[in-house]
Amino acid sequence: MHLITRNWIQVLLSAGILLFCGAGTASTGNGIMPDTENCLLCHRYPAMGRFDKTGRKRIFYIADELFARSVHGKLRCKNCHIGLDQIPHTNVRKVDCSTKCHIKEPSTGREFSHINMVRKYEASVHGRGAAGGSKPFPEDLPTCKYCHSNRMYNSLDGLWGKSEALSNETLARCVGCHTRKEWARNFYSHFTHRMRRRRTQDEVVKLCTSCHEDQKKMARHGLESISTYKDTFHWVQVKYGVRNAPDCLSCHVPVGYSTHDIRPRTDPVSPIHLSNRVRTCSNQGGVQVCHPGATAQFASGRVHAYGVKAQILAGEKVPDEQEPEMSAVIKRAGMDISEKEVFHYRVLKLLKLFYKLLIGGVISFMLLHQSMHFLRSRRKPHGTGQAFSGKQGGNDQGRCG
Amino acid sequence: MKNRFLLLVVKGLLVFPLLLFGLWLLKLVYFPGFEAKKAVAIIEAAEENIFDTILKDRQPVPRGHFHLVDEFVSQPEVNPPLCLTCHGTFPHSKEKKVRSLLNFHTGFISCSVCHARQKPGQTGVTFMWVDRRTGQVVSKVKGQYGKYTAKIFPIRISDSGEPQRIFRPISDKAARQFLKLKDQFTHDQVARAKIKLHANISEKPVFCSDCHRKDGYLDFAALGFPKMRVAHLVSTEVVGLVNKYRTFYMPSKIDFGAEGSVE
Repeated sequence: MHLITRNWIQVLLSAGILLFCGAGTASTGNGIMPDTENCLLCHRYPAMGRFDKTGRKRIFYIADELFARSVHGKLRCKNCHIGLDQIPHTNVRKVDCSTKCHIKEPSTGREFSHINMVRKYEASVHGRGAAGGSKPFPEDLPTCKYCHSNRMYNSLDGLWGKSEALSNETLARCVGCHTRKEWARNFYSHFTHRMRRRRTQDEVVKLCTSCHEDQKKMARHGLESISTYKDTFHWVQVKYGVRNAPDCLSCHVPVGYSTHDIRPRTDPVSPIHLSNRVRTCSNQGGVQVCHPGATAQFASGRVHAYGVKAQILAGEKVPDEQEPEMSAVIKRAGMDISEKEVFHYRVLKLLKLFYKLLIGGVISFMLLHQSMHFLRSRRKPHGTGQAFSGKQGGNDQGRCG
Repeated sequence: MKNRFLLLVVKGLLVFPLLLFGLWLLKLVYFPGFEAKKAVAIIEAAEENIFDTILKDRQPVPRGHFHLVDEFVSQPEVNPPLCLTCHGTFPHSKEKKVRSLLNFHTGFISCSVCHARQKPGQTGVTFMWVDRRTGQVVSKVKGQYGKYTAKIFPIRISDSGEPQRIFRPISDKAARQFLKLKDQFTHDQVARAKIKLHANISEKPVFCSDCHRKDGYLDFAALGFPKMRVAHLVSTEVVGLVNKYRTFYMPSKIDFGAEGSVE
């Protein structure tokens, strides 16, 4: 009897806890994180972390208020950190973004996961290949977390006002019909969040550069480094903050393409494949129209500057074939650059030399001229004890007087 | 004479910037790769050894960290424990099951609280909050769950109970001197110096269960924690967790690597 009473008390207590947790979950969006597993008991402390065996700094701190306002703010920890049942956590599995996370995807009513994106990504240039892959140097390939963090929902800056005020006004209209305020707020946050560019042009270039500037890493995959982009007018515009300046995504992921599905330029699907370039350079159907009058000839022009491959083909650089990083570059040089382009490269080089000489000559002449003028102005006229300029001044004064 | 001198100065001021500009242009035209080569040289130097990733990563939050963090993850303080200079912000690494738990305490407790254990009945030192920004002993502290404006330190007190200064088991001056001179020491000298420096460090530090129990090593109420929080810190939730860890880990002594680190 005593046991039965105790069991009832346990059931009532559990129900109470569940109700409390449910309230917590329902409060997402108001800055309260759904923490039904009580992970925050430890993980709310900012200095929680350690160095792992590879020397990587691991921070285990969860800023709960920020998390609640993030794109994953509705999820419980174990939706992603599956099977984390033991304390201490000795059974940690790597988070798999293609896992179903028990959120209903409203357009189909099915359980949500990022599997579509993961599949696209695996088949893309950055992925390991569709069937697990056998790409060389797989450790160089970026993982989901390399580009994505758990970003905050940010309100949209609009025509009528700044974020917070606009959110309030719009939401006030939404909740007239969509009476669950918390649902309406989440929907609004998600929708407006996706209407914005995730990163500025400069941030996009920085992100891509963080891998693509590593010459050795790129060479291992037969690629040029980012310096071939940074020698272009496109980059200069980004560098100086020109609005709508073309970053990496403008050409490699124009409207209608996905960043998760970047293909090599030899792939007919790629926006930089010769057959698609006119559309990529001209009207992509999006907000940005760069070269509306682009012709096939214009679009077939070289965008990135010539790099190592052109130097190799022009015989200016003799790479060490034994060097593992260079063998892929040598192999691809002939495929990527035609003989005509090698000729262009040589002409460009001569032009560069001409301009260098011209500029150098002009500057040298200017320096010489300025120096001589300075010396002349200081030179004492023959037979007088005064400086040339002083005498001139004296004469002038005399005439005036 | 004075006019001539002034004229010369004016002309010099006009010509000098032009000369500098010309030299800069010449450098730009003929030596464009000068700055780039310097950067490449640094990267190449790093790539030749095993520390390349570490050398490139100077941010407190590493690249690829997924969850959002706020300013509390790396709070400045005027009295940072010197221990962190050598042992880093996550000094506990050996015991897999407790290292992260112990590490989060470094955010609000100085190393010497646990690693310079006060003997029972010992007087002259007590535990107090020291403001992060001013370095002064304070009785009121803002914040919660490790996000405090102050940190707990052992404080030397006078006979009348007045706080005097932070008790430091390792002399800051000696530690700084060691860091300055260690490159000149032989391996054996480094090992000996480490032993000397850590002479006042307790062989057996204060462990979780020493504090997280009723009448524990730290007097939470005296430190100013609210009643509810004190009750939680010694409640079954925390104590239960601590006991769970206790079954996995019972440190007999802490090895600071004095003997083993010179290889």
